[in-house]
Amino acid sequence: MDIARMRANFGKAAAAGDEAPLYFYSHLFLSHPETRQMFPVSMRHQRDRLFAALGEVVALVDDVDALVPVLQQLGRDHRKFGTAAAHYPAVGASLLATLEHFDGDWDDELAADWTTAYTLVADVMVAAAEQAAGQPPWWDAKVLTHEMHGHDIAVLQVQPQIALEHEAGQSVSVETELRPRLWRYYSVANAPRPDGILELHVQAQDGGPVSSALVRHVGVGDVLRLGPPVGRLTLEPRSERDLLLVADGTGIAPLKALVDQVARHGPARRVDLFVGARTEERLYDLPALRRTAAENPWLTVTPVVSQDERSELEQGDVADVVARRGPWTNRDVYVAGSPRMVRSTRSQLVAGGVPEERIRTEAFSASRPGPSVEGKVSS
Amino acid sequence: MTVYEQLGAEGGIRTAVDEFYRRVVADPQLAPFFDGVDLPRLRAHQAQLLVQVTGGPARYDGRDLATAHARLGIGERDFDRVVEHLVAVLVDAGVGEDTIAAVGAALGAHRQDVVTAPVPAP
Repeated sequence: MDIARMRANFGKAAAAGDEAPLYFYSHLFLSHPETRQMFPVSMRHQRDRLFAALGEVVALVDDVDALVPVLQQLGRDHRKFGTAAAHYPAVGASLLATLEHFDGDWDDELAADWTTAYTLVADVMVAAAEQAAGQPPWWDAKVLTHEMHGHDIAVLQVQPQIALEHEAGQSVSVETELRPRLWRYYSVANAPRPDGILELHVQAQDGGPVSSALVRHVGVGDVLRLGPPVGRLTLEPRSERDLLLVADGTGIAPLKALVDQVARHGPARRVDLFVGARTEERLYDLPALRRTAAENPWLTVTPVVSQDERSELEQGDVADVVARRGPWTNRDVYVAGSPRMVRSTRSQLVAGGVPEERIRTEAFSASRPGPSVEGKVSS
Repeated sequence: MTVYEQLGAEGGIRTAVDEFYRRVVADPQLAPFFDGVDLPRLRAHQAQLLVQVTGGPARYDGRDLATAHARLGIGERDFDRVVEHLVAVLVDAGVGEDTIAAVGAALGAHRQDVVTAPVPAP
């Protein structure tokens, strides 16, 4: 496979912006009309997802060790859409037609390379889906509590009706019947509990249909659908190093799960958690975090505000504060939240001597595109 | 609203059909199928057919599709290539996903009438 050429070819379709996904879905629905009902009524929020996901796969295509677990998660995750092995060739044909349509230099070699690559990807996804056949494709989960924090953040406790096994730090996708066939990913804010309850933190985003519905319209007693757990912002199983955790916004959710994991199962280690927000009011989970810190002497919680001069809390960007408090060279580091904060924290820590392979990150965009490679160990 | 109306009724369908044949006859893979074909008549028939199958007035008076394509030796790859041009035309015309799926369902029902060449050995 000429990977450089495939990347250049993919770049041409990606550069066409909305036109490429529009062509792709039009081709898919024209040639396989039966697939239309697997997608949301409004395709407005769907179109950018496919190429974002494909872009991640293309970026990783020569790093099979990182790519395979991502594809396996994707394959399991697609069961909730009703995706069957028979649908993969249909998507592959439409993908190739799209890559050809936007590239004047398309030829048989490129077609052969993409066919090979797509077949590999599809085979891994299908095999993972088949291995998961003993699990439900999605879990119905009842909302037990729904607590508002400010006007746009809600913390929900949900009870899956069948046990949903996850690892601390992972995410699940959520669908509400108010927004059929639109799934969005949210981190679970606790380690696995004996009662199976999951805590989800949701921030309503402008134009984000699922988050807005979860914050403003879903209530206690409603039933949500959850997809299988995804993501790799999980504790390194072979490490007993102390932890540095850095979050802003709802990025606190997966890191709270890691704290919960250490509290429940150890091993005993120091955990320093830094959590940033613009204002003190936006540190919605601070009271709960402080309670946990008061009960657990191995945990410190440092709240930081960036635009709240009246606050007595530490002032500044959380990434800068973390960097000043270093060195963190002997820590495992987990960072979750806004892309800007994640980038800044990572680069400052690396500059401060933290080995890159010990930093795991997850960037929350306004509309998280799904089981992403962001949670992978950076390299 | 019928698919016929969503496509812009007779006027919209005629425009789309003209654009579709402009692309198809310019494609080296497909052009040989149109050697010596009366294109204006073909376009008119195609438009009538599309009007009829999408819920407009029934006026199609051409041959049935299987007869019309029987001796052309059209292969799967040729059909797929035509689909690609049709997608481009419909996307450019701003046709929405649901209408495209409806057109696809109507078209797919006739695939076996059109594809007549034996499948080449792999």
